[in-house]
Amino acid sequence: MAENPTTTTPNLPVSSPESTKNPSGSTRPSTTMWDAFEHILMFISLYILATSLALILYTFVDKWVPAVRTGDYSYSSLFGGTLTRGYLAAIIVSYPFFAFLFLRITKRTKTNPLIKNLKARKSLIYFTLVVTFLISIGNVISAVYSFLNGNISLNFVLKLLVTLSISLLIFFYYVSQVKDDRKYV
Amino acid sequence: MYKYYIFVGVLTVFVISVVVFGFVIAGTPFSTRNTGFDNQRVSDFNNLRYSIEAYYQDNRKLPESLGSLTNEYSNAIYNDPQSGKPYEYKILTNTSYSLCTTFSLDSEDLEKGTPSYYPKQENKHKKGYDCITYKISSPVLNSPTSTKLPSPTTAPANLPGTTVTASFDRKESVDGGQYLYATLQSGDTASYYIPNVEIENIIIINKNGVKIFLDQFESGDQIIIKYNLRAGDSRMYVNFLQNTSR
Repeated sequence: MAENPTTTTPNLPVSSPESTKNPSGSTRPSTTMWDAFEHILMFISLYILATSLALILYTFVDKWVPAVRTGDYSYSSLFGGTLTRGYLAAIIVSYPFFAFLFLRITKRTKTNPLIKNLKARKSLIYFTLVVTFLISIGNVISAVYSFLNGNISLNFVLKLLVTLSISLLIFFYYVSQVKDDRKYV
Repeated sequence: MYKYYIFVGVLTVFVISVVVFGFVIAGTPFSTRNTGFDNQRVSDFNNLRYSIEAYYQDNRKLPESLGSLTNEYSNAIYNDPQSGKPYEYKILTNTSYSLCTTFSLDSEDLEKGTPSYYPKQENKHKKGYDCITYKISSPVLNSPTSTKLPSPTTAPANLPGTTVTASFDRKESVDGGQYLYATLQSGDTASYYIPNVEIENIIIINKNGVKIFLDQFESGDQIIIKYNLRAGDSRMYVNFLQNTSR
């Protein structure tokens, strides 16, 4: 509860100590639907950005280190620039949204730590953790499987590295966020 | 907070470099437009080529101008997609000719963008005004002089799925449809020339219903040709040619 109830305004019944210390903050120290909305948009743009970044890096890998087996056509070699242009469009559109929302949400959580308890934020973070974990573990399993089958190639390893670095970056960032959020429960 | 700005800054630099590399691989929007024009030109050249070969097939000479390829041989009037001018046509010898226009790119540069559906080797061209020389293909040159086909305005003789008996040295004309069936006769080999039509599959089935190869067939076997008519075309010819080496 508030340390100093006489000075808090009556329309802020649930205010944490941090928010009362900073009453001049531009945002009201409460969580609204708008925060949940921003989180949903940020995570959607993050998914689009991460997927298209991984796929376009795959086409770079295919370009510079082609798959060894001949006759094994990857999608990128079949459709040429068409798919690459699709990924480019996805990145060009989703990245500004992601960067803007990411910075805005980080700024808002600094000024108003109540956002950390937002249900939508928690569910989205945990959903993201599960998905990135599944992607990482699936890729590692397929890598071990190819290794056991003896057909591991540089092309394969590079694609694995692309997937792992993107999904693990997201995974560990949100693990750190979860740890940080726990302090405010 | 500043470390988040640094992170987003680094990410921005990374994303921009990825986008730049992506444009290097996929072609910039401007070069993609030029690629589209050149693919259209090569596609038009190939359509004209089919029409010219069909004309040669019937008349045993090259058309004097592209205007001679009336509706019977060419359903569309092909113009350059960028300038809108008709393509230039030059007769070189009795059996070779060239088609000219102003290309947007070298044919080597085309590979960077959308892949062309036409063989690059025989459609090589330079950027700017250039000509591609074509020869009448040997199946057409070697085909015996044939009588002119009935005009395609007549009612379709063979509907899809109809079985026609094809004797060699004879043309079968089909309007519309998807399959051509023909029963092969004694002493024949299948050398076929089919202008204006995209062949999907050619199957020869012997009397026992077993699939066999083109050079193994006997009298009475059936040849089934699955084909797609291209947009704007309305007919196809199948020539069965006698193999003189036998």
